[in-house]
Formats: sequence, structure tokens, C-alpha cells
Amino acid sequence: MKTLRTVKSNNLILITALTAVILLYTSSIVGAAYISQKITGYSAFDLEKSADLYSDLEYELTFEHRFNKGQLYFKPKLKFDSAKEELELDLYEGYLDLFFQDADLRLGRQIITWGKADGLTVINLINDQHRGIHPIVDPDDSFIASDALKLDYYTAGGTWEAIFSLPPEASNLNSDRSGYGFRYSALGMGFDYEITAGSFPQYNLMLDSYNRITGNSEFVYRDQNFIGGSFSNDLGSFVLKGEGAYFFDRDYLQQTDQGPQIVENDELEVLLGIDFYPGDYLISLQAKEGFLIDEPDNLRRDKSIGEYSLMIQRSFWRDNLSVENWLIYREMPTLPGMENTLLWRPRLTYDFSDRLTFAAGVDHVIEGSKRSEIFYQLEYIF
Amino acid sequence: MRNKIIFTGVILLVLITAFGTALAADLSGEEIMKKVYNRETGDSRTANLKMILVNKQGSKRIREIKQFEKDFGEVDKKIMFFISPADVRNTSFMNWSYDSEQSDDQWIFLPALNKVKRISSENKSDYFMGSDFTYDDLGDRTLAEDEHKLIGEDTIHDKEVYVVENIPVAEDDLYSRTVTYVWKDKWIGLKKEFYDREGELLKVLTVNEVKEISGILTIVDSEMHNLQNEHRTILKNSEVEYNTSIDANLFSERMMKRGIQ
Repeated sequence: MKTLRTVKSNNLILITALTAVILLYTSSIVGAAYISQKITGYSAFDLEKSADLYSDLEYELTFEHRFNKGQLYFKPKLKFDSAKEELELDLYEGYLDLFFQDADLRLGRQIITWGKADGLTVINLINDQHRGIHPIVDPDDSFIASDALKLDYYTAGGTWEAIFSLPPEASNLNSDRSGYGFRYSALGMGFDYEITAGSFPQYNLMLDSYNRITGNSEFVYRDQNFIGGSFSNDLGSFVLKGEGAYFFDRDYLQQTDQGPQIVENDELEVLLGIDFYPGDYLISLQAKEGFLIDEPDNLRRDKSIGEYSLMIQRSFWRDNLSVENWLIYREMPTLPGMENTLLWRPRLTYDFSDRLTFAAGVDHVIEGSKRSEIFYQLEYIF
Repeated sequence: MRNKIIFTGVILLVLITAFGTALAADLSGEEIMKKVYNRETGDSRTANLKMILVNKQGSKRIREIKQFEKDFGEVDKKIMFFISPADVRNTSFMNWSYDSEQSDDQWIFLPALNKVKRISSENKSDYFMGSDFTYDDLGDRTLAEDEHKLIGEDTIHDKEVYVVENIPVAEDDLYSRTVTYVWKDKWIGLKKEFYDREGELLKVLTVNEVKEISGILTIVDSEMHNLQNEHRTILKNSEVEYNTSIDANLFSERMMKRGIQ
């Protein structure tokens, strides 16, 4: 073991923690604290070379304390990373909730989810995502919590939401490059919808490639300015879902006589999906496409051109055994470091006793040059 | 003259008793089940549910849920908050059931995804949280989904009951038939047998305790026994309250995400 590394905390977390402590010890608190602990062992192997790749042991504490008009929630994680031989202490989530008559305020490190899609993202842009991560149990585990302030205001028809978030830690952006966004969402008879607008700094794969080609040291995070929305619709055995967003002045790479240049262009992204429930199965099909608006010559897209996923899930033995099969295809632009990928991602989870859970899976790359990996995970909750 | 009055009284009593018996006996299976479905259950209900799942080896798993229901006239709304075990804590489930032909609306909030997700309402024959109860068994079934036939009378724990056979209208139903033992004059089921599609006895629901709460008969302890795989689910209701002023805003995306204290 080499070091104990603490992931940097910023002022927002400090303010949250201090406010929480003041609230805890100066107000008359009703309600009880809830604490649960989890130990997770995880190992991943190279499927082709049958070699160990990575393993870690993680301790996670969940602390919830509800009081009259709010809640305090902390989830720190202590992880031993065998590859780096480091102990990492990370505040995965930590926030203070304040509940008012018609509004809720959440302040601190949090995951905020927009949209109806599973695994693929169009408008779910608030939180940064892990990259180069080893196989994950659930695709949504890839999100990294943001330090943010979220205000929800409730009306008879739905919820108005306003978000202010600090830039992702990995971005090294200044706080004046913060993200902000607004959402209106409603659940209704047979139909739910969201209307969203915002600007959040997001990792840009194309800029990363460009920097590597040109030796540039440009930021690889750029603002995503968008308006969009989502819906889900009950059609009996089916649930139809969709997302769409119009992005303004997105950064793209354009090949010119002087070499590659960064230019801005608009893009429309659309996702359509269907969840089908035949008997004990859940079959989920999703397709996402991006369309450049008034595409100039020699413009190269960032991100994927299209993403398509098929998921088949079934539970056995009173939901104790769950089996998921994902097939994901990503169509990428022809840029260095980018290639089409077809991934088969089966997952198996077995719940031994409400405390002990075993999970295993494979990220098998059928098309593309990425490494195929297999993993297993053992989780104990107490 | 006195004897005449007594005689007339006796005759009247006999007639009333006979007429009353004939009235009861004349009730059809449909009418009995209609009384069961239409029994007073209050405009709103709050309860703590404890489900004890017992497998063949006798090992137990316990699930605790806080449940709220409210009748809004044309729509009944229900929301459940999962309290334990830890791996499902803060999960919530909401159902809106309509008096019209409109399909139910159902949503689930999964804290790990931090997302309220609409799910199909066509899963009423799914087992609820790994228990021996399907969503239908827990009260989502309607009178019109079965044909009802009175097949006899019996006694359960000294209580007189009607025995009614219920045959599903839909051919693809989970059960080929069920038999309900309805407590006479109280219109509450005290036992129910469930037969699988092959006609074999699959499960038996036994009511262990009924309490009168706010004037409403309430099953507070029951057990569903799956005879084919020797699995049992004991369902206990506690802190049951009726007709309390549940805020309509409880049945919302906000509360699904926020959870309950």
C-alpha cells in the first residue's frame, strides 16, 4: 500500500457539511438516523489473455438522518485499488435536503437524472461519466456525482426544477464554467413528459482526439447548450419512450486547408425506445441518432453518430436471481481513436440472503479493438 | 285470544326466518362476490406491511413497506415505500387505478438510478417482491375478471362462510380457478384456494386475524402457502388507519423520490 489519497472536496461540500452539523445540533430533530454499510469485492480479468486486470475492495457507508423539514444524506466510500496500490477516500454522494411547503432544496454532491432512456443519454447531461471504466454492474453506475444546488418547485400539474452545478472535478474548469439547467416534468394518465433546457460542461471525445493529434492543450470539456425533452407512454404490454434535444453551437472538428479546426454547429439528437413485458421477461430496445443541422463540408461529428441497444432481462427464484443480456452498438465517426463498437454485455446477479449478493458479467467486444473483460463481484450489506 | 297472538307471532317468526334464509340462500356467487368487492374499506388507508418470506428449509426474509391508498372518485391511488431490507430501501412504487377502462398507470423509483420509471401495468400476475402474493392477490383484481358460482357453505373457526368458485374470464390467467370462503354477513374472505392452469391446488391463503378498525373489518394477519414448492408468505398489517386526511400530493413524483420518514 502506497498512499491514502482523498479525492478533493470543494467549498460546496464543506458548506453542506457545516450546515448539516449546525442543523443537527441546534434544532429539535425528529426522526432517527439510518446507517447501513456495504463491503464490495470486485475483480476483472482479460478474457483473451486470461490475465488479472484489476481488483478492488470497497467499503461504503450510507448515513441518512431525517428531521422535521429535511434530510441529511452521506455516502462516503473507502476503496483499495490493487492496480494503484492506493487507498482512496471518496464522498460518492453527500447532501442536505430542505423540504418546504411546495418546494425542496438539495445542496451538495448528488446525482441528478433527466430523461427516460436506460444506458443511453440524450438529455441526461448533468453528471460527468467515468471513461475507460472496467465492466460495471449497471450502465447507470457510470455517472459521477456533481456538486450542485437543485431546487424543485411543485405545482398541481408537475415539477419545476432549477439546477446550478459546479464543473466536473476531472475537467479542471474554473467555477465560472458552471452548469445550469431547468426542467418541467409531469406524470399523468398514460403519459409522462419532461421539457428541459440547460448548459452543462461535458467531456468531448472529439476534442480529446484533436488535442492528441495536434498536441494542443485545449480543454476537453465544452458546454452543451440545449433544449429538449422526453416522454414515456403506456401501451399495455409496452412502454414507449423517447428523448430529443437540440444542441446549439456544439464544437466539431472541421478539416480545412490549414488543417483541422474547431468550429461550432447545431445538432439534433433523437432517441426512441420501447420496453416490452412478455410474461416474465423485459425486452428493451433503444435507438439514438444524431443529425447535424446545415452540415458544412468536411465537418466531423463528435461523440457517436448512432447508438443502439437491446436488453433482455428475466428474474428467477423469487427475484433472487436476475439475468440481463445487453447488446450495444456504437457507430463512431472516422477519427483517430474512434471506431465502431459492438458489445455483448451479459450480467447475472444472485441475492443470497438480502445481505450477500453475487454479481458476474462479461463485456465482450464483438466488433472493435477494445479488450474483452470478465468480472465478478461480491457484496455484503450490514 | 292470547294463544292466537302467540301462534301468529310464532308463525311470523318462522316465516321471517325462513324468508331470511331463503333470501340468503338465493344469493348468487356473483352477488356474494359483489358484496365482497363493494365492502366498505374507507376512502383512504394507511398501513405498515411486514412480509415474512419462509422457504422450504424454514429460513426467513423480511420485507417492510409503508403503504398509502386514497380513493379520488374516478381514480384510486396507491403508493408504497420500501423500508427494508437495505438493498431495496428508498425504492418506491406508485399505482393509479381507474374506474374506467383506462389501464392502470404504474411507476417505480429506483434510488440507484435516481429515476422514476414508468412500467407496464400488464404485470398483475407477477409475484410481488418475491412473495407468494401476486399484484392481483393483493387487491388489484376486479369483479368482472372472474365468473362467480356459489358451490356450498362451510364453517371456518366457528364462522359460517359461503364457498364461491371464481373462474377467470381470461384464458391466459395465472389460475384456472380460485375458491373463496366468504364470511356470511361480513362479506370478507377468510380463506382462498388458488388452482394452477393444470387444475392442481397451488396456493392457500389463510386469514389468521381480522380486526375492526374505525368500524372497518381489516385483515391484519394472513398467510399465503404455496403447496407446490412449500414456500410461505406471512403478511402482517400494523398501524392501520382509515379515512385520515392523506394529502393528494403524496401520490406524486416528488414523494416517490423523497421517500417517507
